[in-house]
Amino acid sequence: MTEKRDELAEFRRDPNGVVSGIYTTCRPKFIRWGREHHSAGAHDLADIFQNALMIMVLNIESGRLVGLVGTLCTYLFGIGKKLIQAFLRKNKRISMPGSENLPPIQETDPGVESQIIENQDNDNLWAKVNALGEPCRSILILTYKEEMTSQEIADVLGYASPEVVRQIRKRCLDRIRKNES
Amino acid sequence: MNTRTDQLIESYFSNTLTNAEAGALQELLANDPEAAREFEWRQRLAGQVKKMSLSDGIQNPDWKNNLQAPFRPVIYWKRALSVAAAITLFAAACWFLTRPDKPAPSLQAIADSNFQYYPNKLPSMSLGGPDDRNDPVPQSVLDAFQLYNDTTRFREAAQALSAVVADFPEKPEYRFYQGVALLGDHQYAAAVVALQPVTATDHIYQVPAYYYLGLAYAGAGDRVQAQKTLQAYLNSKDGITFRKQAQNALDALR
Repeated sequence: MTEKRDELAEFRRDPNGVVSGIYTTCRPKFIRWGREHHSAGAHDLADIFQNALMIMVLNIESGRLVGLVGTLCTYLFGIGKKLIQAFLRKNKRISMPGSENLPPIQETDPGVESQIIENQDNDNLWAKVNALGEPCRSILILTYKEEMTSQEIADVLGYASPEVVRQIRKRCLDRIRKNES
Repeated sequence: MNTRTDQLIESYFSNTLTNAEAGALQELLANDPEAAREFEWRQRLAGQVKKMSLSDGIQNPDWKNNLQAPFRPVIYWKRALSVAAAITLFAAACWFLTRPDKPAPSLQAIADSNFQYYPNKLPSMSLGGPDDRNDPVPQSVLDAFQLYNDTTRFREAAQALSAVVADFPEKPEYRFYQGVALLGDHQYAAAVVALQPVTATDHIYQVPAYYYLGLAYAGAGDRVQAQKTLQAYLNSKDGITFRKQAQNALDALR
């Protein structure tokens, strides 16, 4: 147990050393394991591992990760596994009206003004979202970019249940809406 | 919006809709304008969230810097060019540092060049903080910190935070951020006044306050106090985040 807690303390003391060790030993293991057990490419797995590492640091920073059951590498594998699950589901999306990707608009196209206004609205929306603090940012990124379920998000961010994630996300969305109006 | 609609939209974005649920969602979107508006808004939101990165949420700059993924292998001639460029730069730096007419940096330049922004870490400013119902954060405080979050508006942030400090004199954390904003706006003497009381507390901001107070003393022209205060930061076991900058400033002051 002492050894496990030491890894977190060591990270706080020497983040560079610990992260270098993770990149040298844990990342290759993770990519090898991911290639053997899931149909994901090495580059995708490297990106997934990077996200897992950032989630781990966010969890340490927020105080949600204060002790480890296994090693830091095992912990990263746990997060990475959930991220892989979500990643593999991405190409299974059922399309809905309005979710198609439209071709880029030319300046001469009819209705280009409304497109410009829409782009401006989107820029404003981005600014509102980008100004959110934690944990809103993480939860929205994991929901809408990584496309994870609330259960998966609760697992990787260390929340007690998916319901907690839903409640926080609802409050975050309400904040954006409030700022928009 | 009811729970069922919310569930369907959530399942859509996590790609876990069954065929039956997809049909239900399609029907809902066709018949319920409110649900259709909400769905369209979430799609717009998702498009914007995709531009964001998890790493930007990490507040500790040291930790963030250390999370750079290792470089991919580079082609040999590129590496050779990099080495040649590095040698040229090194030679230029040697010449620059040893040239006879090198002026000593001013105390203000030392303060400015070693100043690093302290991100807003107050938990009450995000949803992870205390329960809003029991410990509401006043709007004036939120407004002041919104200014503080914009690193191009230190002057306005300092003004707004001065008012906040006057309203909440018992909160050293507000005083700390006021001091950082004043320092960011090159108001060194005022920063000394703001930060000094924070170093006298045992608050979690005490240690970083030593670093900023040291720079404020330097900017205000008090070399001796600047050295003492920066040394106090370096002597603290918690003085980690700005260790490099504090050491640089101290070396330059000597």
